[in-house]
Amino acid sequence: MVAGMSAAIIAVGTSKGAFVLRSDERPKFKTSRPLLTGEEVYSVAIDGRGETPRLFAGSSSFYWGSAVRASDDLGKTWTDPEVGNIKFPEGAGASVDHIWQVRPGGADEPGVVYAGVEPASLFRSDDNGETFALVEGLWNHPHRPKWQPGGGGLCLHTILTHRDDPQRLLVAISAAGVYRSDDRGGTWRASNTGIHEVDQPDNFPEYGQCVHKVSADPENPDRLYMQFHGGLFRSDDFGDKWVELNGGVPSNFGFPIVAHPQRRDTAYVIPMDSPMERWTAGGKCRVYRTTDAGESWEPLTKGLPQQGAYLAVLRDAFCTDGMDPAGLYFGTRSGDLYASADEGESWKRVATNLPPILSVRAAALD
Amino acid sequence: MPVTVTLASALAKYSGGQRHVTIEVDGDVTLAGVIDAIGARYPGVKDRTVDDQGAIRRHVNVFVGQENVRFTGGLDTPIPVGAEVAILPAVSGGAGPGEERCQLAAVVDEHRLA
Repeated sequence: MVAGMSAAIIAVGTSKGAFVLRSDERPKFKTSRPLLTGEEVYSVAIDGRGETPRLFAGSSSFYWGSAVRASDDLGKTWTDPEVGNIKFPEGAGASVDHIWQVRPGGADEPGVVYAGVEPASLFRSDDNGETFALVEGLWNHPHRPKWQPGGGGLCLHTILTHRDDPQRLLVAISAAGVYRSDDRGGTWRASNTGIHEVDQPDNFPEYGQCVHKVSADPENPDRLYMQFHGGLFRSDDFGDKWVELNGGVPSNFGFPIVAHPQRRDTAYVIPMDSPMERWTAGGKCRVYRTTDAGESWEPLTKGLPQQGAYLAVLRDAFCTDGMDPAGLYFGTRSGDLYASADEGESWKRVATNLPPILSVRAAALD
Repeated sequence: MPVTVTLASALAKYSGGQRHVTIEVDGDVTLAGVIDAIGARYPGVKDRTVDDQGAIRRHVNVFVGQENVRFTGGLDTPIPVGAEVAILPAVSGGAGPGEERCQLAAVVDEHRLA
């Protein structure tokens, strides 16, 4: 937790490069020039474990392949590995398409960085993201040949490390569901008990659920919040079982879900109308907050457009900055970036007319 | 024998700034041998030409002379004496037949990520 500070940085990945926004006083931000131009930046991350923040971008050229790029000067310059640093081994029969997630490991794992890619697989780096190796335990899982892609492709988009137990990892794949490891990625098991899937003959399959995003409670590391394709869910045992949360949102469809960085039982979602429309519910841009672990939800609207707002916010385009009070940030496919410096009570549009926003991450600056 | 290879401008940063390089290969060689020879000298060029499994990337076109190797055997395409090889980005858009392709790409993009 960073209390009493307001200087922050936002990393924004778009379909046409990246941008970095800096602020000395939230929520006023200054936007950088376009960075990593010509590349799709599906994922960004800010690693605050070192002396200076290290930015990561999961970047793909339409022509020339993908790489995890890093910046140690807040986005001014980026690494450009001569040979791609995230690749399937020869004989795997697959090639990395997009990099959907870059996730620094826990505080007790210096140098560890995880990446989730399409086709769905997990990679791990032990050298601060310079090079990555395939986590073969998940790649060799017997379910994998039957995994089916979601609308965006067969992608591993969520990686969680358990706060108190680095042996425990959890990933989410569209549309294969949640998988969990209790031995640091050596072996994996499906962890979808209780998640219904209405579009399959078996409404409670072992795997195959279209999970959109999972976020962990800051105080109780076993408590997880999930935005599913058709519902909100919570687990109190790091994914062993899931219960549906029904109350108070205008639609149970959406993509991102974000837990508060300090406050227990508190999380945020941005409901969208049905899978057919995929825009902010009712044409109103509303963030919904729960403070009772998902039992009830309240709309937060101040500063957000409430008429004719048919916006789409993708699964990794919503985040917090870890500060106290928490800053919240989300970007839209129509290129607007909104920020709140007061835990969602009020919002300000801090950038507009950017390319379609795919990923947003923020952090405090010393 | 020498083979002249023309590179896309985006690849020149991985070949010491050169858009035209000459490499030496055995007389009886296929495109795969040329790609390997390029990789020995310029690993970054090979890496951006072929994917993780060694296949020519989906949106990269390689020409031997005037022929796109997708229609001449891919990496098994023979390299005749005096041949010139070009590694270029695929053109994905434009008028006429390309327009349909561009529109298809837009539709695909619209359905991705969500």
